[in-house]
Amino acid sequence: MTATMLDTTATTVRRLLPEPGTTRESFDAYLAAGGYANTAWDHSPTELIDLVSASGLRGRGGAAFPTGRKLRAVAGQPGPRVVLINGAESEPASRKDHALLLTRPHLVIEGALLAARAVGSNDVILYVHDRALERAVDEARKELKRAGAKLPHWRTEVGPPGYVAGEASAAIQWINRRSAKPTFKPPRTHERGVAGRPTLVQNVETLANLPLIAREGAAWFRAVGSDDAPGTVLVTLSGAVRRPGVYEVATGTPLRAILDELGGGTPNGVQALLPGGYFAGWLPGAALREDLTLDPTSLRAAGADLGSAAITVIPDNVCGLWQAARLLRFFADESARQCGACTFGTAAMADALERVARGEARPDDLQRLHTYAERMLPGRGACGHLDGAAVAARTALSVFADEIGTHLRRGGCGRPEHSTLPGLEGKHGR
Amino acid sequence: MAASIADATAKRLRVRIDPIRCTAFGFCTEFCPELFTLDEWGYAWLKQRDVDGRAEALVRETARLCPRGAILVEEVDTPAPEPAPAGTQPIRIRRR
Repeated sequence: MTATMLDTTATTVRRLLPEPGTTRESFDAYLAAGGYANTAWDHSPTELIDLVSASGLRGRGGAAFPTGRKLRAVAGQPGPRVVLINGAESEPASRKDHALLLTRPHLVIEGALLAARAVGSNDVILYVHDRALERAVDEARKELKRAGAKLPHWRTEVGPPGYVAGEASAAIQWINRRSAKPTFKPPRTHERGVAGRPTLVQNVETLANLPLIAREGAAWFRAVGSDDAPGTVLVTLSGAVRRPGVYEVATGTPLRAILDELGGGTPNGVQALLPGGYFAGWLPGAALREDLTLDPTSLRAAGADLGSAAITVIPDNVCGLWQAARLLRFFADESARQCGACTFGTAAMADALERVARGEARPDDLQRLHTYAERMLPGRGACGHLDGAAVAARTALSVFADEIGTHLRRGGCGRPEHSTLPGLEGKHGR
Repeated sequence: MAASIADATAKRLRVRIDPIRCTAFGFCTEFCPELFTLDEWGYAWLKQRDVDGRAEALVRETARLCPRGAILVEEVDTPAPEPAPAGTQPIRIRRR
């Protein structure tokens, strides 16, 4: 069984991640691996943008915006322009940007420098909320300088922790005003960002793809992965798998194979899973039986999304409904409390689902949850936080429908009610 | 063809509420209940996003009356189509 599966599916593709055991790839090692190649740097800015557009690369921070289009939008704005590396990976279930910055800082640096060349920027800012990442990148930057490279102006901004602090406009607000809260759009960051200047905000993993595309070409990039989101994607496996961690796979890889072969299997079953982080929705364990693959088209058809590819598995031996309730409480706790619908809506959804889970639901709680998640709240926040909460609620209502029935009748399902969600572990709600 | 010209000239407006600015005064619903309603906490909730150009005067007046200036009215422009990814075209790669 295992042997045949190994033949068919989730062999890792090693493009972004280093060889196993690498603590930090040195400048020399990166050079030997093809880094800072003339073939990449011979391209004019326009050629670079065309190449990225042709590659079909989409942002890996969660929104999957076409990177080429973003580069072009910033390049088309009057200068001076800024490049912001968003390394504030605030999704608790995700560790991939962290892993990339620590182990292959040069790949990210070269990506940011190529992006700066593409949009005509002489100002690069690294935004992180972890000093260890700053140190890894600073060390790499020193190596690069010692080798004689002339770099654009570079600075690091260490922002506060918090879910919404990693959002692009929140990063810019932090840098401009020391308030890491999202802002209403317009103005969009590509029009007015850091110090009012057009700003390219790009996720770490997205940038790490640029040196490879610039060096190897668009066709090479598209040779791996699905048509709608080509290339590889870094997944963070967590929850009830034997080997949690950060892995690299081609988009379009079957999810079951990722869990079994890379994750070492799911000894306690898969009751449900979050395939794309906390904002991209729940899937039932049964969805894995189908030809479910890790790409936006397949995941959307199943009812969720690729998001940041942080996959969390909920086993059969805990209460699934309490996981869903805990997730809604997380959204309520993490709201920036700027928008009324978010401040009150996230809390109302968490309250209602907790009452359902306790078997103390008011007669209209279920109906309210549907109304909040499907009609009243989507699209009404300044950032995506409220939408993420609505998705978490809407998908939970369908994925845990049977559980909800059991809890309404009996006040529980007899399984442990503690949360196993990464970063949100423990007892809750009683 | 004639239809597309007519479509292009027909004015469409997009109404948006800045949710950070909105502090639930509720004037918008009083003045223009056709377009605005309130959620259960009293914050402005749009019934629809896109509005016919004929309602422009009413919508702009409602926006002007909002004490928080939270209502935005913009003309909808049709975005230029994005060229499809050209990954199948040969890309010149120079080797060092």
